[in-house]
Amino acid sequence: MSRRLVALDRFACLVLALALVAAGLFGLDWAYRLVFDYPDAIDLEPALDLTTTPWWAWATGCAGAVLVALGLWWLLSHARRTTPSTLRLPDSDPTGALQVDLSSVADTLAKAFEAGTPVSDVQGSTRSIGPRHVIELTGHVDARAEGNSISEAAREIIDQLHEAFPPDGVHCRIILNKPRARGLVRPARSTARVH
Amino acid sequence: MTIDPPPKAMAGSVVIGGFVALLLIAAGVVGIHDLVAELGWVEDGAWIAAALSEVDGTRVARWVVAAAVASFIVGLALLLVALKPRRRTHLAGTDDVIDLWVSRSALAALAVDSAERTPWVALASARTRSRRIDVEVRTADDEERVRQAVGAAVHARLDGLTELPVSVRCKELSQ
Repeated sequence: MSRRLVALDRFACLVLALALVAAGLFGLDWAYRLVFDYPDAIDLEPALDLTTTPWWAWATGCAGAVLVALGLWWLLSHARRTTPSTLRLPDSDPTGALQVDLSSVADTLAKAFEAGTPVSDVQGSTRSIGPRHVIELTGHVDARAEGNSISEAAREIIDQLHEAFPPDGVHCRIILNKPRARGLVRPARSTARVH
Repeated sequence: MTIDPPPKAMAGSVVIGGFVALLLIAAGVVGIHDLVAELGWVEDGAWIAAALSEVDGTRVARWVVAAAVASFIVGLALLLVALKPRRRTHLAGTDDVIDLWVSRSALAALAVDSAERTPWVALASARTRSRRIDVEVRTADDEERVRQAVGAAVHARLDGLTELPVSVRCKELSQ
């Protein structure tokens, strides 16, 4: 997800929070007349008169369509991939473009890293951090792993990547998580029945 | 070399954002329905006018106070969610050349395994704090000797992944 979308979510959460707090405070003030004076009952006659005007239905219909489109765009933005998965290489020229599929590179690096280290379930993914294309390798470290061996293997993988691509073109990030939980222990077999 | 930003947990407001998006869609459907009802394409009447009629004339009642308190509390909770910064989930490795991040629980798991493989250690637990790794072991041997051995073993195991100091606490096996 892009930073802009995260900021939008945070802003929407803030607006909703302030609206609920304000509604709660006004509700309590209405019930106990703490600050302002209120009528005994809610009067919505002006609003009801508005709903009988000829243009009301069309206004709500158009506004409704806009809200549905906005809501769908917002919802789908959470699922949409924001990172381009291909990288155009510097050797491209007007006669032809050289592009590399970063997803394939990420998968290859993930397999190589898992094969050479005590890290399991390594997944490769691509994302953008600022202006950089980043290949992210995420795996689960073995509880018996040595820190230095992982560090050296990580350095080798990154060196391999920089041999193939310019250092400022693609960046590699390695994220290590806790060891996977061990599988359930099988219950002992029941004793044989003797007939 | 590590680059910003570091790995962080998903912001809680992302879930709220999705919920608000659904609210917008629901509000939009209501608006479109009222137009469709006005055009006579559906049999039921407009929903907005019906809702306004229902609320019109409402007086203060117990449920108003309960709803107001609930709204205030939920609003405060959402305020915390909106303002809370995203939690950093991993710590940076020690190598300046590579962008390596390790979770606190991974460091603790490695520390526990290393401590339990140290001679005379029966049981070990570990917790990664912000400025150090706390390791607690149970032993029947000389506590000072075991403390030093465990400290050296954990430090060696985590070398290359973190520079956090390791603090070892020994307890008797019978405790």
